[in-house]
Amino acid sequence: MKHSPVDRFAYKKSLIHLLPLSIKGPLFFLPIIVNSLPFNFYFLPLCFIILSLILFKVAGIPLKFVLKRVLMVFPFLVLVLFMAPPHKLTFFLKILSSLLFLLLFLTTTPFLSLMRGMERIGIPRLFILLTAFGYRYFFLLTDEAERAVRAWRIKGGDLKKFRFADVSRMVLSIFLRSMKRAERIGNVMRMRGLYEENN
Amino acid sequence: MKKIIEVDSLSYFYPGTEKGIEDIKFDVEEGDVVGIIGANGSGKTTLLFSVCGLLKARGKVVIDGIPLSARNFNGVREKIGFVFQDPDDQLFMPVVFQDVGFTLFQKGLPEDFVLERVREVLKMVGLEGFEERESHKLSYGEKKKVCIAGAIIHEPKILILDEPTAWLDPRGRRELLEIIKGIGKTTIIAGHDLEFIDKISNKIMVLENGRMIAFSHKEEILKNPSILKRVGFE
Amino acid sequence: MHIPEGFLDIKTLVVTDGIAGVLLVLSAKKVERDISSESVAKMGIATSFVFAVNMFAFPVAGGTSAHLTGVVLISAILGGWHGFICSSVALFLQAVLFQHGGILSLGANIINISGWGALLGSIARRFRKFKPLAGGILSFLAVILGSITCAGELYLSKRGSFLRGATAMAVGNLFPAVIDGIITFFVLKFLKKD
Repeated sequence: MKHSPVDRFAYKKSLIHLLPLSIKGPLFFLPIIVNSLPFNFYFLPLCFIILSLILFKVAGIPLKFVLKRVLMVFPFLVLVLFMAPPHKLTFFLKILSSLLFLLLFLTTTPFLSLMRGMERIGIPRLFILLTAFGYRYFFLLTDEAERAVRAWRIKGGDLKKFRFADVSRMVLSIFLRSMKRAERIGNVMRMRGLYEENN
Repeated sequence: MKKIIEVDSLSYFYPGTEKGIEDIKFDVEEGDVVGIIGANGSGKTTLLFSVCGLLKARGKVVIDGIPLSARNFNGVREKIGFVFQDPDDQLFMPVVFQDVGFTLFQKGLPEDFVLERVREVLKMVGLEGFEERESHKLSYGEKKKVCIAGAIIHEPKILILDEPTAWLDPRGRRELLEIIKGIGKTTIIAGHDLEFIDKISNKIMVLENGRMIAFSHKEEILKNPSILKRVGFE
Repeated sequence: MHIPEGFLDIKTLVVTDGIAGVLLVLSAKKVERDISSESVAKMGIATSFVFAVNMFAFPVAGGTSAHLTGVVLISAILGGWHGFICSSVALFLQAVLFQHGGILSLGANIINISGWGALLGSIARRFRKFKPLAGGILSFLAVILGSITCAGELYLSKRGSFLRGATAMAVGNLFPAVIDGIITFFVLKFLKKD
């Protein structure tokens, strides 16, 4: 799996990137919040879309990347269309403009800055730690999953003779190795004074 | 020389097994660099964990005058910088400075101070400018160095390294040697790399099946091929 | 089943984020009672495990691939409160790193995915003899119930008919739910053997 899916654009030096998080956050979430209000004229979300595209250009984020990310929500949108939502055009433009502003925020903000922001607004330490570990070990685990799939294929794993037991064993081996690693990490944390535990 | 580690009758067996260490006794003087050698499963890591208090072993351990007991694990922990075998276990924070500075952040020290200290220790291990790098993007050798930096940032008296040269290429081993020499602390190194241990240590301990079969100045151990052969070093 | 940004209206966002916030505070209190380096390490790894199995496309028959939610699995093993926290953090990471789900709609996603998964996983945890079977069935149910709740949230946001939405979501998630259930069953079965 390729590492750093989003952060690849987060370290540029555009005006947007350099905005402090305390300004960028409220500024980019404002259109998303406005879109969630019950209004049905499409002019406002359309303006948001145009504004976001200009800001993407200023930030140097390729529109091809933006389009790919936006297209990811289409399966969900198709399911929602079955509900026959009213004011479809306004609904669609609101969704699109909200997605674009969220993407603008996330692609111009390094993950580390987000974590710092979380600490500053007083998110409890447990959640900060879990977010940090979740990020840190995600890449390790997906590499392990790739290796497990590769090993399965080399040993003759064949999708035509696919068995759920094979995939389950892969998942289990990743899980067991992870828990073993967790034990070791627990020792590391004790030595580094995470919680002032005594034996 | 002052005794900085005193171990007497140290024993630990993993629950439900006969594997562990038995009746280990030794002292380490300030400034010593002790290499612990032995075959796989001889008890090297078990011994290191028991000396630090990560395993509740029977027997007596005194670290820099503090007896290891159920109540004062933290006091002992402060004296030790432990570099674990797998750097992916030790490097649990996503960014280098978060990980290296972790022990100091835990004490509530201000970020500016911690960052300054992080820079100092990163420079000591030859990783100047690595503060903002992401842990998962580092090479194996770089991870090892970051782990060492993280282990010494709180200025411990003793540095313990478990299999530090595992998976390192020759250049990595040379760099590691220089780093440990440069740090200059009382050091315990467990491993299989006899050449490395020969270059860095002044004393060697030999373990076999959980028991200590020799502990002496390295010249005496290395002059004794029968002991080395017993534990698989031809 | 992750609700992207922009699909829910403000009142639904406030309610779902509020409920999720309360549940997170409650789960943190429950978990912090016996917290230790070891338990935090386990939860941290469990978070990345849930995140990874959610994102990784495991090959399944016919050239298709499937993602696991992993929430019932983790909750059946570690406990409901732990599973809830781990999977909620995983959802946050998915939103931030991959835009799987929104940030303001995170509360709704936490209720739909972590909430049902942790609740049903904690029920599966109580079974001794039939844990694998219970885990498999409850894993399937968690996905379906999450889909229906999702439709409820969209209905509350006046996005159309609840019945049509629930049907579309449930049917649309039927295949992933089945895969999730079967894999959860086998993993718990092999775990029991080990």
